[in-house]
Amino acid sequence: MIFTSFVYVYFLVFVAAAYWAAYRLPHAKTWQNILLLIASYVFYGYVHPWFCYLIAGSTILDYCCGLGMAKSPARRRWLLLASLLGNLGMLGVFKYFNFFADNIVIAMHSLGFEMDPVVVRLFLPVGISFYTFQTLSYTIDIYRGEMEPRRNFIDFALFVAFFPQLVAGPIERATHFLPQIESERKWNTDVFVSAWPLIIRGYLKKLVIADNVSVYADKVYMLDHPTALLLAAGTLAFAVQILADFSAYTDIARGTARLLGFELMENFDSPYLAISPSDFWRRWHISFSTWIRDYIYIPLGGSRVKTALAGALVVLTSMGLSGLWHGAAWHFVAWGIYHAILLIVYRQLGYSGRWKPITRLGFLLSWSLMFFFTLVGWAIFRTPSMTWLVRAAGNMSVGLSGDSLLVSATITALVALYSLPLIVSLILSRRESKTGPVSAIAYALAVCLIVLFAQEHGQDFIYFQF
Amino acid sequence: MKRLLSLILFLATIGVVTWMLRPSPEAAPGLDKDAVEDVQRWRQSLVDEHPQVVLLGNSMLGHGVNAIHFAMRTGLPTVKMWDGGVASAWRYLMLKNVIAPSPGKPEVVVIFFKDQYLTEPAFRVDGNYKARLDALRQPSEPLLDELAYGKERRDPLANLVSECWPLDRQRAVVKPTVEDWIKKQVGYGLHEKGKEAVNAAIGRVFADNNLNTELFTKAQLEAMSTKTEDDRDFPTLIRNSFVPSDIKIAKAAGLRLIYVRIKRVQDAQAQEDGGTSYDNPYMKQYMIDLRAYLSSHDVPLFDFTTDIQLKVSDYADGDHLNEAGRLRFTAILAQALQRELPEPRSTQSPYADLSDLADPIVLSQPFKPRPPFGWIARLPEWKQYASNASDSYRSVLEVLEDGVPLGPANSFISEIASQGSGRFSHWLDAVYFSASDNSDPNTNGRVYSIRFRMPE
Repeated sequence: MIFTSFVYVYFLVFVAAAYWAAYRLPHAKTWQNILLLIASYVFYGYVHPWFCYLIAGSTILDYCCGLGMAKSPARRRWLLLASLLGNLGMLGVFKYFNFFADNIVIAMHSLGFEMDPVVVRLFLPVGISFYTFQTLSYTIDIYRGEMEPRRNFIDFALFVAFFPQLVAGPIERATHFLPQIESERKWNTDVFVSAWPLIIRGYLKKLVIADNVSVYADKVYMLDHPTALLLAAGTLAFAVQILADFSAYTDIARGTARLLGFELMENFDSPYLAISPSDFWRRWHISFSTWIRDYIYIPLGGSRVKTALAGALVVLTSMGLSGLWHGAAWHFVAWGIYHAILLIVYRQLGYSGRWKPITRLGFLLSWSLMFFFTLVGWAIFRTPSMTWLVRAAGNMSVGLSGDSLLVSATITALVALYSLPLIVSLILSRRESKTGPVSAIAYALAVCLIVLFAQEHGQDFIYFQF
Repeated sequence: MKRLLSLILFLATIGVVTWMLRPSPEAAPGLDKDAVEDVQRWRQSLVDEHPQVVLLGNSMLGHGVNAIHFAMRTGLPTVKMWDGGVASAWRYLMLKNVIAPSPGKPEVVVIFFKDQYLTEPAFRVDGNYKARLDALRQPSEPLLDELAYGKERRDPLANLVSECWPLDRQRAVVKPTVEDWIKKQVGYGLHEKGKEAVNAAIGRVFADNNLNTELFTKAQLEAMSTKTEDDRDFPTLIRNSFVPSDIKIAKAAGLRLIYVRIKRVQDAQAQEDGGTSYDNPYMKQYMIDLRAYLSSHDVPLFDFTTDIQLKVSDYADGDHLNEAGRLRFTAILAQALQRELPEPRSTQSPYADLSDLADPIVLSQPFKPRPPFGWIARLPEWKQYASNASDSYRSVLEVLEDGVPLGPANSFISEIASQGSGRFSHWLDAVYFSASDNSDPNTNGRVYSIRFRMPE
């Protein structure tokens, strides 16, 4: 089930009504959690019911591993290993099997050994990367002694499968989200009302901005030989699309969770205002970047490593894996490594951490440079393949005249038009409380824009594929 | 109190925007004027000509069959209704909303299709094609909305919103207006030309031959209805297509339906390479299943992909026949369909008077120029045999230069003027032509005559 379908509207109305109706029952929290767990499985298995077996398997494995660690501390390491193998094994099979099999065949071929390619037609279950990381954080935190295992299976299963953030995050931490599941949810009108601006903003970003600009990005990246100007315009369109699309999902997820009395973490903080790579990763996909930081980067040594080379290797490994998480293709790995190189170079130049320029001009220059680097990164991310990007870059003309100029300018102008609500929303959110009169007018206009500009055939959320 | 004020402001703003953008009562908003005129013309042609046969399809039919020759060969008044690129959704709406309810409805409707596109309900339903479908549709078209636009459109909540909230119906107006305004500004800013220049540039940059089809996204592939293994279940395909409804509508209206699969150049090429057609095993099985299905509903299917009479040289391009191919296929089609067609209503053959015009008639000078290479001779008396907006390949008139036929016939008037070299077109009440060497026919001393090609 997807947020932009009408069936989701019925589903949400029914679930929210039943959920708050159960509020007055004895043991309300238990009934509410059971209801949400059933709803989450219905949501996840709505199109492909077999997806539920996977998430149930992952849930049972980590529930048992968590309890096992508490019961037999001597076996903690083995139980953690079982959890890692089970979860990452499932992810590996469904997401990366064909990628690795193909690359082994290519590698063997280059060594002179011919192998028949083994192609397994596996359908990637949506959201598997998200809930795998979420449930892994639970077992790792128990292993580290940072939290106690949960005995209530319903609560734990709901933590793994909570439908608003199940498919595309935010990747919640057990330490943040499980306590909310375990506590009583009291009706709070302010919280309930505050959910709607988030939901409207989410639909505006997805249906008006992301779906409309995606048309231009898709077209440019289908060209055999785009000019540099066209590629720049298409990449700008994609930059707007991916931010609008992904942050839309987060907004709708957070808004929906608020309707049910939960608070999910924020995933974006104006990432295109970043002035350095480290600043960018503090603002982009925050739940994922902090996961990578806490469970890969720091365990590998983080900033405590002694030599610059070791530090660079840690960053390269963390970001390379981060890229691979996004998809089983080399251009995603290249995107991760590209950001790693940016982080390393900025660090070597002394512009890492919380560095900020002193002057306004310095701020403007560093912002412009980082925005340019971000766009280059998105070109690597969006490219259909590394071969396409290298070939396109090799044969590229600038295209500062004729059709190329006209089409690039049109795409840029249309992207700017569709980005306006994003900019207005950012200004509004910084200047006024989210329920003030100006906001009320702005959100009413947002509703009108959704009705007037939504694509009739919307696209799936981009991050569904990851 | 503050919350109540916010709610009132929220609702009031929506109300104001809705009122400001309310649809104009006198105009049908969002409808393409040309598309509406086409529909009116087709409706009128049924009433005026009261044909026994209607040929329905896209440009493959447009280029592939000459309605005058077809009528002369079968003895049945025939109207050809076609539009470039349209697919099964358009044919469904034409059958349902134009042909079946018409007081001049025919006895037979021949539906032309290519390959598996008969069971591709969502093919070509967006962009310009949507404008044509919108001009054809009734306010409520649940089947179209379900099959062509996905089930969401059929959702009662969506319908309710659309019916109760005028703003929803303004989407078709506001969005293109705003995007066109942007294109216009960019066009004037950079080229001192309007949105047409921008649209033309977009068309050239993103032309099919510049796109790498291997890079289509999942959504684009789905929109193009590329088959997956799961989709190759024929009962599902046919159930999710317009075919069952086409048959039902035809039966209810007392129309005989005939399906014709048109041969493409790739089939002719495969035959010249020693095969029978271009079909792969999937397509062959598909045609067996389709034939069985249609046969069970007493609907004939003619598959011309294995016909050996049309050669590669009969094609202008991959899907379209040239002038010679058109007349050849018309003869093949008329002969093949003969046993499925009704008896002529009248003893007098359609276009019987045309046979008097088989001998050349000299065009009288002076010819009016259409610079640089085009010339115009008025032929008001034969307007009924001329090509027109409904059928730009209708005319079978030939222009002769000193007794030698010129060509290609039915060329674009703009190309006749700009390129000449013997191109000509019999359009409405005139013949637009050019000399073979682009000289002035008023002074080059050659004799220019016309004659109408008769079926052999």
